[in-house]
Amino acid sequence: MTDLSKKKPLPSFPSLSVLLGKKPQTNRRRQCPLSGEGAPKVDYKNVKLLSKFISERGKIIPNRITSVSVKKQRELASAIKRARYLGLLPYVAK
Amino acid sequence: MPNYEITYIARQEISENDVEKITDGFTKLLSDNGGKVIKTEYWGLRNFTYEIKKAKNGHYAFMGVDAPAPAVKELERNMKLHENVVRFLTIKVDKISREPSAIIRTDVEDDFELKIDNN
Repeated sequence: MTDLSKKKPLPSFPSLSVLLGKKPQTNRRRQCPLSGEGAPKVDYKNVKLLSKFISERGKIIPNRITSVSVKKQRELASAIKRARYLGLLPYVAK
Repeated sequence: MPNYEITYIARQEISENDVEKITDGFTKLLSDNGGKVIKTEYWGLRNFTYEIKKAKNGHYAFMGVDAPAPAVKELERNMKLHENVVRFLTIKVDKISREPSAIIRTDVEDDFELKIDNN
């Protein structure tokens, strides 16, 4: 006969994320570099700033890499395109 | 009246004074049509990142204006016909800032650094 009161407690396991070799997630999403106070204004005239968001080839870097917010990424894209039209930024660069 | 930012590029062959004369002509054209120019800037002779009309560089000039839409339309028509204007861009904005544009400012906003995560 088994005595229920003497039943051993279940062994505790480490959490699933540790078992799968994942780093515990802290500081999950970095903040958008163009939002918030003190952030530079997205403007087609600010070539120096815009050039940081294009690749060596002249392509616009996706926001999943730069972690720019969706709203700011839209602004950024149109600003880059305006600067391109004025010959301030390249359409293609080699 | 709405505010507009007008940037135009003049041919590289002409002098800086000629660019100013062109700007003055445009200013007059706008005021004749009931508009006013809030600020003008000369960005200098800049190199293009690609060739525009077989040229490698050109004079950049900028105007911030407060003018009715028909006046701006008339100005655009004139710029299109102007033999020394290579290209222009008109953009409607909420407010014309008083400070000089970022392109001719060299001191600040140089410290902005973009960090890229590789997740």
